[in-house]
Order: sequence, then structure tokens, then C-alpha cells
Amino acid sequence: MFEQSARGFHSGGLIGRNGLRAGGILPLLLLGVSAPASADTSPPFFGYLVAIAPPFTPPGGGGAMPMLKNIPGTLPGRPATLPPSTPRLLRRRPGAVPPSSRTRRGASGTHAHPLDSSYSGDGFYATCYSGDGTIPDGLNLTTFFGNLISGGNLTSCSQASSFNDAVNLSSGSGPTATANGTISGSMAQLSVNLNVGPPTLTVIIDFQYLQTFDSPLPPGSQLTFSWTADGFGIAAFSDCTENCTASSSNNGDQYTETITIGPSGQYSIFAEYYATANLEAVTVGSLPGPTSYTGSVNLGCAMQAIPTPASGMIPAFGLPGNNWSLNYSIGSNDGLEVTGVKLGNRSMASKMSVPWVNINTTDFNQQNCQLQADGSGSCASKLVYFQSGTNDVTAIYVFTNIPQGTQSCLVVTQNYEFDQPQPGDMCEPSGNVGCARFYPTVAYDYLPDDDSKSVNEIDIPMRIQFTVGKSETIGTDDDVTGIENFFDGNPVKKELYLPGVIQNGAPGAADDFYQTYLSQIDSPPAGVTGPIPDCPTCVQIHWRWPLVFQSVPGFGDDNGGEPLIPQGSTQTVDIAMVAYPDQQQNACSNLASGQQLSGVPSVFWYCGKGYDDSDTFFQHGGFFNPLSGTLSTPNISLTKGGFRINHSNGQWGQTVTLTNNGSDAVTGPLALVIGSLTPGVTLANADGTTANVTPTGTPYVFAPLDANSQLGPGQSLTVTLQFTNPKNVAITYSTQVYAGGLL
Amino acid sequence: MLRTILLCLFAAAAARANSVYYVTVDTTALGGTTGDVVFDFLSGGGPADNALPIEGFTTDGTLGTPTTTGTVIEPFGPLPNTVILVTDPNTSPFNEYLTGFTFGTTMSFLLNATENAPGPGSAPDEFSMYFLAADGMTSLITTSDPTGADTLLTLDLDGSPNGIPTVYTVSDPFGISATMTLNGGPSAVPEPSEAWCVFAGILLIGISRAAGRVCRHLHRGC
Repeated sequence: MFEQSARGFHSGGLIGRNGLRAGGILPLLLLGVSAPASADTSPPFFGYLVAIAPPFTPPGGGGAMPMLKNIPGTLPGRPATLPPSTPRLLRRRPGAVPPSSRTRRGASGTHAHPLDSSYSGDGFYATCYSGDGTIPDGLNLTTFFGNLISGGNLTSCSQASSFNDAVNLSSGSGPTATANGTISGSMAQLSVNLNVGPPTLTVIIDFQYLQTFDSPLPPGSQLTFSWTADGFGIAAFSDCTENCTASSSNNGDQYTETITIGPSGQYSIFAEYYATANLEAVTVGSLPGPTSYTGSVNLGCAMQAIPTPASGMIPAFGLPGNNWSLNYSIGSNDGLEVTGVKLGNRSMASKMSVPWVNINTTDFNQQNCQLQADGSGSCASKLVYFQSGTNDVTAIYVFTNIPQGTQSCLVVTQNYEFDQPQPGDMCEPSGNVGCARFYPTVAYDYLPDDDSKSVNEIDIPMRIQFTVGKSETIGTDDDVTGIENFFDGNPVKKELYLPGVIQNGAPGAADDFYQTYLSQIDSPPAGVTGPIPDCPTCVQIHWRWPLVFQSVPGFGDDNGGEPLIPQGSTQTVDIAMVAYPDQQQNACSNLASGQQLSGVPSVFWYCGKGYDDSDTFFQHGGFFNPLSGTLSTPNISLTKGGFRINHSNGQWGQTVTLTNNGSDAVTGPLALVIGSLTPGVTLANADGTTANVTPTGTPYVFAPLDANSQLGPGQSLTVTLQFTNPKNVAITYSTQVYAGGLL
Repeated sequence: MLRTILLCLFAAAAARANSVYYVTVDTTALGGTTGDVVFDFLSGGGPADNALPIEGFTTDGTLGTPTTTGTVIEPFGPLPNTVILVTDPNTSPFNEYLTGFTFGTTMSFLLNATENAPGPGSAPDEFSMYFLAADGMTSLITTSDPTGADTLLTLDLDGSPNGIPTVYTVSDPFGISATMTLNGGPSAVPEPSEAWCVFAGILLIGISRAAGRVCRHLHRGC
């Protein structure tokens, strides 16, 4: 079952994943827009104040609530007084709780207020909570709550990321007034439910939430927020100079606005519910029972579906052989899909998608939930966020009705990121293989409506239709020698399902995946050690490197021999390799049926299983070598068409038909080299000039291959040539067709 | 007399050829538009010459003043009379007949081309047709031509019987369409006034290529 081969002992530097991405961008995005539990944010801050008549003298003196004069209130909610951009708020707080140790949901029930974290008086109560117990130093002091802080009565907060307080207030003097109910807050929901007993004169509620997040996009880029603020004012803001704040105070209205990310690379969300009710007019003998005040901010599970964005593309930057390009679209059932992924002209994958999500929680269990833009029914999903950048594209879906009748939800974030090659970035320990990294990550956050609920298992497979070639391997690396064992040989011969390649967060049955256009991956022969390039023709995915590479200077992906997954994650990963077209099931274990795999197009399935309330799959990404390939001269015949003039630019155009006369498919890149061109004539649409074949400097064009980057036996394709020919002379040239490598 | 000789020589060339296509174009969608109709005949760079008479041109549009480039012979004057384009890789690789034109609803003509094959590795000589705006540069139509030149139709003389005709689809304006019918149309039968030339042409078949050069020489001298 095992074949053995030596993997070179490598050395090299690293520009690490964390360094490039500042860690956990997507969870932060999730936090900022919709949900809690992510890395590298400031801890959330919640504070509230409730006061009932008779009017009181606030801390610090100054008479009866002077701060209210600037904040005329209405029921049920008043537009919040939103803080301006405050750079101090945007500093990353050193006390940010790492994902592995964070308590996702904070204290609940009646809170025991510690000293200095609350203030109470006659019919008056105020308190605050924050993830690390501190009060944000930049909290805007023009707000009612800020005024309370400035009065010196609150110097710290209770340490919690959420809360649910019972409130029982009595005015204590004058006309008796009472307020009883609950006030609760979390990233996803801020709620006040207060029954005010007669004869109340005045009720004041000020309820605030503030949290800072890392932006998923760099400074200068834009983030769009979408939410419904019912009874609340809500704002997102950054420390930029223009378009820095997006805010809403419309009761119940859908709200979408964009901010620009400032120099800090962070943004904050601030929400405030503020209301005053002067009930004096109805307290004289006829207050009709308790009065309820309720407000909510629709974050997390309550986020609204956005219109399905149009399909688009991320174009290459124009450096032949060295730039990613791809198309993206929102699929009908498979979430955000990317297709036609190429690095330069070298095709890497025809499609990446998430065909299903299996959700198993303590009160819900359903398989084959679909990532749909606006679904319905049980485990219905909706698309709540979409963003495309210069090298990545992101979509966030929310599954609701899990189960129906509850407010629980599962937030799934897809992000496809394709990074340009970085100087000095050693994707494998030899440092001799050029590489451009890619990250088709998918993350989830379970947001239950009750703390007693939790995740049993969340299954999210990533389906990738690689097109590099038809030879694949699955290997596991020896921690001591670095020698790699191949499952089912090199290449894998038949369809394969391999469970537990990562097992509950620990190393599992295999460590890596390779695909090449060669007959087998070009790994060093057995017994060879040293800094040897590791399969330069391959697309490579390594979810674990052997411990021995920890000693390689500058190689930073070793992770001490542990899987490259989020810290503290207990995830399990299964993989499957099946022939294309594959029969998509709702379980990865059902995919492989024993068909021949070697020599046919295949599909790679990376099936993540999470057991925590949040997790991220495929965080390690993969890499592809833009500078690899073995050049060949395939058996391809060529038929030239005649010349014609493009009268708009004077260029001579021509079509050339290439036909594969061989018995095997030709795998790209496929290039037509134009030599001995008539003097004075140039190839205007050349994709480059030769550097590795003689004569160097000869122009060539790439042939447009199919999605699998191949030209099948007997198949033909057409290449268009454009010539500049200022003297309109007869054009002659020689031709040579090359495949599979760099020219 | 010179005209007669030239006509006879190219009639002879036509007589030995099989690439005779009757072309019709529905130009209704451009009716009333003033622009240019362009006929190009480009050498593929091979050693062989080819001649391509455009005969029997009819239209309900209005022809304007022509401009010619390369070897373009008008034995009896400009269109609608017969116009002959001739390739030579050395002396006339680029040959063009461009005429001002106010479009009507239709036009038709006969292409009667020789079939000299290109040499090994060379591209075929190609006839192509365009509708341009009055600036002579901007295409009035958008076609499926993969080179982006917005060619309406082409005839590649690759040495095979009848060559390779191609009619491209016009996507804008909608309704413009062309047909190329092999051996079709009214001009497939020589006109009585020219019938004697066919006989002369048969006699001259062995020297037609050389005669073509003579013709071009004479043409320049005229």
C-alpha cells in the first residue's frame, strides 16, 4: 500500500502566512459585520444606564441630567450620538483573547457587579462589560455613557463578552416608580425589555456597544456594511480622512453603506440605543399597564440577505507566467465559486466551490444544506456579505432555521485568496521552487440563541477541480527523516477516500497533496537528501510538514510538526480524490468508488469537520509554481489562414489552426512560436518572447486551451495572430509549437 | 486594344479556375448610409500569384469614387464593371479596391478566382470584404471575425478546389447577412460579348501567369 520516496531536506526563508495576512482576517470580518468569536479584535464593550423618575442628580453634579439637553429623545429609540473617527479606538488591544482561549459567549443571567464596574443611585443604575475588563480609552465622552465615565464613577468593567442582566429598579423617593425587566447584549443582539410601573415620570435608557476589528482589506480600501438597526443607532467607522463613518438610525430599515479603511487597518462598530420617555401625561390615574421598551440590532443571525452580486473576474496584472487570474460567481447551491484559475497562462483549477454543509448541533441535525443566496425552509441560507478585491473574493452566508422556530444560526464565510509570488517566500523547505500561494478557506461560526446549545459537528467540504495534470499523490512525511510515503503509489492509481488526514487537531493519516502533468510527481529518488526542489511542476497542498523541517533556517511553515490549522482547533479533515466528473454526495466518504484515477482528470475534496462553535478550514492554503514545466514539442499540425487588414489600426490579422495529431491529450501551456518573421513586421499580440529556447527573443502566443488546459487527440483550436506591417509587405514566418513548460 | 488583351488574359485565368462564387449581401439595415465598400486581396507570402475578378456587380445602392491600392485592374472602368485584383508576394502583397457607397438594400457580384496554391508553410492568398464608414477606417458592422477586423466574408485560395469561403455573422446592425454560392448566380455563364475571350484564354492558359505580369506592367504604364 505504501511506496516510499525521499523528500529533500530543505532550507530556506519564509514570509509566513501570518505575516502576510495579519492573522485571521476572515473571522474579523465576520465579527465586524455579523458575528462574534474571532481572533485579533479588540474585546467587545457593552455599557448601559437606566434611570427612572424622579429626576436625579448625575454623578459629578451639574443638576438634573444636563447631558440630555443635547440629546432629544423619542420613543422607542433615538438616533444615536455616534462617535467620530477616533484613532485611539482603533489600536489593537494587547489583551485580545486568542481564539483558543476565548469564551465565546459571556456571562448570562443576573450579573454580580464587581466594585467600580457599576454605579447605582436612587432609581439609577449603570454598568459596563468588556472582554478584558477595561473601558475603551477612546470611548466618546460626548455620549451619555461617556459622561458617566468622565464623572469618575466607572473605572473598569466586568469581564464578559456578553451579558444578560435582570434589572429591578425603584425610584425610592417621591412618587414611586419601578422598572423591571432584562437588558442583554452580545455581538449579535442588543436587547432591552423593561416593564415600567406607574406612576413613572421619566425613563431613560442608554445602551451602548463598541468593538474594533481588523479590516479584511488594506488601508485605503472600502468595506460595505449591511444591517437593520431597529430602534438603535449603529455606525461603523475608521481612522481615515474621508468616508470614514457609515451610520444608520432608521428604525427597522435595511441599511447598507461603505467606509474607507484608514491607516490603522482597523474599523470599529458602535451601536447605541437611547430613549427617554416622559410619561407624566399618562401617569395621572390612567397608565395602561406596564410599558415595554425593546430594541434590537440585527447583526449575526438577523442579518438580511443582500442582492446577488454579479459575476466578475480578477484579472492578471500582465506579467506573463506570474499572475493569477480567475472568474467568480455566486452559485445557485454551492456558494461562492471561482473558476478558470490560472497563474499566468498556466491553468491550475477549473473550479473551486463548497457543494454542501452538514450541520449537527445539540438541537439540530441536517445534511446537505446548501449555500444559497436567498434560500428558504430548514437550514435555509442567505448571502449577507460579498466583497471582491484585487486578489481575493469573499462571501458570507448565514444558515437560519437550525432548527425552525429558534434564533440560532450558522455563519459560513468563504474566502478565496490568491497571492502573488513574494521574494524570499519559501513555500517548501528547499527554497528552490518558485511559488505563488493560494488560500481557498472556509470558516464557520455557530451562534446559538441559548448558551446551552453547541456544535456536535459541522462538515464543510471544499471541492477543487485541479487542472495541472492527471497524476496525483497523497503523502505522509516522516518526522525524523523527512522521507515521504505515498498512499497508493506515485501517482495514485484509483479513486481514494482517506479519513482523518488531520485527526481532532492532531497529525493524521497524510500530510500533503500533489498534482502534476508529468506521469508521476517529480520527487527526489529514494535515499536522496539535501536541499532538493520539491516537485516544481506540481500544485501542492501541505496541511502538515514533518518536524525535521523545524531546523531548516527560515522555513516557517513547519509549525513544530503540527497541522497548519487554527490554534486550538479540534478539527478533523478527510480527503477524497475522485475521477471527473464526480458524483457529488453529501458525505465525503461516499465519493470514491474505485474508478481508475491515474491518467484521467480528477477532483480533490478537502472535507473539514469542526467540533467547536467556530473553526476555519484550509487555512494552510496551497501553492503553485509559476516557473515550472518540462517543455515538449507535441505532435500538432498547423494550418495557416489568409491575412486580412484591420482597417481601424492597419494591422494584418490571421488565424492559425492547431490540431493535435497525437494519441494523447496535450497539456498546456501550449505556445506557438513565430520565428524568422519578415523584416519590418512584428507580432503585435505576442504573449512574450522566448528565454529558454533558441533563438531567444522570439515572440510567441499562447493557445486558448479548454478549462482542463488540454487539447485532446484529434481536437483543434484556433490562434489569432496580429501583425504590425507598416509597409504592407508580404508576411512570412516559421512556426514551432511547444507545450508544458516555460519558453 | 490594351483593355481587350487584359480582359482576355484574366478571362483566361478565370476559365481555368473553379473558385467561382456568387455573393449576395442584404444591406437593408444600412440602407441610406454613406460609407465605403472595401475589397481586399492579400498575398499569403507564397510564391504563387492569384487573380480575382469581381464581376457582375449589381446593387440598388449608389457607387461613389473608388480608390485602389496595389494591383487593381479596371479594364472597363470602375464598379459595376469588372474589377480585377492580383496578388504577387513581391510586387503587390496588398491589393485593395475601396469605393464610396451609399447603401441600398442589396448588392451581389461574382468572385472568379484562380486557385494557385501557396508554397509550403505559406499562408493562402485571401480575399476579404468590408463595410467601412466614410473615414475608411471605422467598420460599419460588427462581425464574428476572430481577428477583430470585422470582415464580412473571405475566400482563402489554399490550392484546394474552390478554396475556402467563409461568411461571418453580423451582430450589429442586426439584419446584415451575406451568402456565397459556389457556381451560382447569373454571371456563371460568360457574357456573349466576352465569350470569345474564353477561347482565347484557353489558348493562353500556359502563359497566363507571365501574361499577368505583363498586364500589371502595362497597367502601371497606362
